[in-house]
Amino acid sequence: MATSIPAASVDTIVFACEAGIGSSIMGVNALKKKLKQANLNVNVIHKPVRAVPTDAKVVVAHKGLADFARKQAPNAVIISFSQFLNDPVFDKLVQNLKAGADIVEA
Amino acid sequence: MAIVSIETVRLQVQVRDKQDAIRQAGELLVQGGCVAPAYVSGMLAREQTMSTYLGNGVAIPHGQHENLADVRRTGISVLQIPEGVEWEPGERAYLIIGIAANADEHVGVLANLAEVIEDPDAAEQLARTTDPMLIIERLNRERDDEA
Repeated sequence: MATSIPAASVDTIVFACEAGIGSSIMGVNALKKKLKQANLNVNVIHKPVRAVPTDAKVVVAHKGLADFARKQAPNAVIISFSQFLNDPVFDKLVQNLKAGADIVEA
Repeated sequence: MAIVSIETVRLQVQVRDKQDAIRQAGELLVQGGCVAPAYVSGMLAREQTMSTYLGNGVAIPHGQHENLADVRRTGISVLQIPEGVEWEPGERAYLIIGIAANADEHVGVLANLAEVIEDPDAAEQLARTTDPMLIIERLNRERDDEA
């Protein structure tokens, strides 16, 4: 299990969702906006947690889905949040990407 | 076609609690022909595992993956609860946006809603207005930034 990855190795973030009907769409859009505002060229892909690619490097998931995401992508850094919008972990993730720091499991 | 329509918007609604609010928002989707009744149970179940409260008094209850077959067409219901209802400890919701979707037709509405949530004045205005068209027009607003 990976617990951190250098920012420079992150070109894609997988946003894991349950049904993909509502909350996660809001979360994906908010994260994309934050990345764009920080001038970061990182893709965000939206996937049901059961379809997270096994080789994903960084996965963000609601805390209720984090364990499932970890099983799906055992080598990924999993970042869990409790609020779909404005959770501090999103800002921290963007800051660390911007600073070229390590992205740490949270 | 506009996704939010007057038939599924109710202003100045009173609810007993959060579950009652979810049921009422779900019932509007059933009446609107958007979902089968089973979807409403899914909305309640989803809320048990992950809250759909988004901030600034807005919650967006919707079903789970297993309820996608209960969706007949994309639809959005709105309950305005001027008194608010406790959604999470210490957080009250005033606008309950019920969502039924099995495709991406409603992402523009969600983007409009995100702007409302980022703007406390706009969120408060929609939570208090007595004109349903104000809510409907704000959520249906056409966007040119679709990603």
